[in-house]
Amino acid sequence: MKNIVLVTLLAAGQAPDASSAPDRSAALEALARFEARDHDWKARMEAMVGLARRGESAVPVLIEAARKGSPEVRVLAIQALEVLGDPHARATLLEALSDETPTVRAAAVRALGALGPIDPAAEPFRHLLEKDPERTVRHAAAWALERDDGSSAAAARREALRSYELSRMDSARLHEPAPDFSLLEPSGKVHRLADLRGKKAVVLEFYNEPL
Amino acid sequence: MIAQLREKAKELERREVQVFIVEPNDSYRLRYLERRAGEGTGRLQRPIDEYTQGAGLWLGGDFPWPVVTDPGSLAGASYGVAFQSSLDSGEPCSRPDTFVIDRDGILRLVHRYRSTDFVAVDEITQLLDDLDEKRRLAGGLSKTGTDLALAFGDPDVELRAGAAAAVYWNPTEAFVPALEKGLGDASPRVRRLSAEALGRIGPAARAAAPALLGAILEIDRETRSRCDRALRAPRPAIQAVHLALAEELRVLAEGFRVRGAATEALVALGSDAVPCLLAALEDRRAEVRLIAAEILARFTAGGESVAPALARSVTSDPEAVVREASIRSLDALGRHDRALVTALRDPDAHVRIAATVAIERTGGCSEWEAVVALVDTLGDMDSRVRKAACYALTHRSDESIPTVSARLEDPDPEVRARAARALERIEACGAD
Repeated sequence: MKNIVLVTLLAAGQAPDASSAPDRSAALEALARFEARDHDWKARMEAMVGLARRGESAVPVLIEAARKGSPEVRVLAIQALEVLGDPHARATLLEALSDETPTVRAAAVRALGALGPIDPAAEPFRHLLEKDPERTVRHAAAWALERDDGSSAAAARREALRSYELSRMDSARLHEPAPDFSLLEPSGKVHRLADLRGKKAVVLEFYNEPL
Repeated sequence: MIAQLREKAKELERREVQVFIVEPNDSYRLRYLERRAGEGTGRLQRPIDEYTQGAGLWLGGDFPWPVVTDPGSLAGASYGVAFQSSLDSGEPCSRPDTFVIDRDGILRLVHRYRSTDFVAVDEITQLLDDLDEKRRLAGGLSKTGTDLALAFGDPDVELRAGAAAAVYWNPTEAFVPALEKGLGDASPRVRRLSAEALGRIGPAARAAAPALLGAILEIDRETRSRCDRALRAPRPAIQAVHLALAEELRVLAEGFRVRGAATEALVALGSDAVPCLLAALEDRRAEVRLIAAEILARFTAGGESVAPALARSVTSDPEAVVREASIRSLDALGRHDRALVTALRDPDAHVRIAATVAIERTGGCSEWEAVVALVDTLGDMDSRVRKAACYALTHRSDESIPTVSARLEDPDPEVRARAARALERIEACGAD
């Protein structure tokens, strides 16, 4: 069951595209691992880091996955396309605005917002904003229309993901040195744990209310 | 709200603690909300305002701590925070999570799924005070030049406490017997520090599991006895009552800290503590079985024998309070078991409520027998049980209704009829 997506995508791989066989295979493998591990957050992180490192060579596979994968894979593929910021993905993302799965529609409108300013009068966006039956999708559409930093934020996330060492994932352990972090204020000010060591204790509150 | 937060912030600032609120959304949302906060309260001007509804106000100039984003969710990933909450993807999410890192950059506190008390100042300051205390005690002992092994038996409480604190900073298996002895010390501070040091040693301190459990039991006994005494006391002048209560509360608070430290130490022993707790679950004393049932809820990993033992307790323990605790622990472990279905017919209403909640939360609503039993519970004599059953069946209608619907095609006409009646009852209770 878990390999159905992979098999489907491999079959789709017969279509011509710009990516080389090793690139295609690596991107497919990242998606298949995500599927095989029940879409847990670590598998998602690994896939995102792997795909960000592949860069534009992963785009053709992600476009296929955004169309033909399971709902979870479609969401992941769209998020990866958002991070990669490749304009070739636009048509697929527009198509995904009418996906049957709300999370896919929400991811697609966010990704389009990240690719550049959205025309609020354009029909698919207006429909999503005003008529989508799911509140979360209307919410995502509203935010995507507000977005004022699309491509630059995506580029920053791409670079951050590319340089992330996966061995650091879930490495925080009680009574051991805390993993360093780099957190960003809206003003652009960066806070790093390394800068506070020896000076202050630190409390990190990972808040839980999507605004 | 903001005024309370500013008070908390002052206290933490005084202790040189830097707080960061890590927001799950992208930075553009923060910028937008800040801008809106600057504009003041208000009118819903743009489509997005339908969704924020002034949520940005707390990000305004009065908010005492930096609200930051985590580009790429990398900090969240390093700290093991399930980070997809903002993507509405239905993935598991561990937020809100709190981490406290001491001045040396060492992680000292991890709280997952914290549901209350945004920035728990009391807990954070207590933790930092405790760390300072342990540094001071270990330093004091070191200055005296007393041999560590001898310090454990010294008549001076400062030296005994210093010995336990020294092992906390430098966990050494060789001191497990001395720390076990410390769990029975006359000073609650020495007992607490001994438990904390055993927790730092971890699984290598497995031999101390019974002593840790004994320390918890002792505190519970003492608490009960103090409460009994207070209730039986004659009625002296009100000032005397206040003084006595203050003293009792101080002693009880110390006791609870010992209990907490001993519980955390048992959990830190890992699966090595499980045999001791399973034996305690069979103890002839109900209070021991109760403690064991409660603590076993913390053994999510490495305890395959835990769920069957709790299930046995649910169906066979003579005390309702133990059966209820065992159900709650199965619930916390996420383990559905037929014993939960059996417990729906328990003579105690609290047990039946706990079983209903646990079945709902552990996936029982996708099992025919469990759903049928829950439907029967809709006719329970206790209205609280009926409400809980109705909630379980309707809240999990995506599981319970398909489970029942599948039986509408059953070859046995009795099963088909039962399924049809069950569907009607689920729909009826949902409509109420």
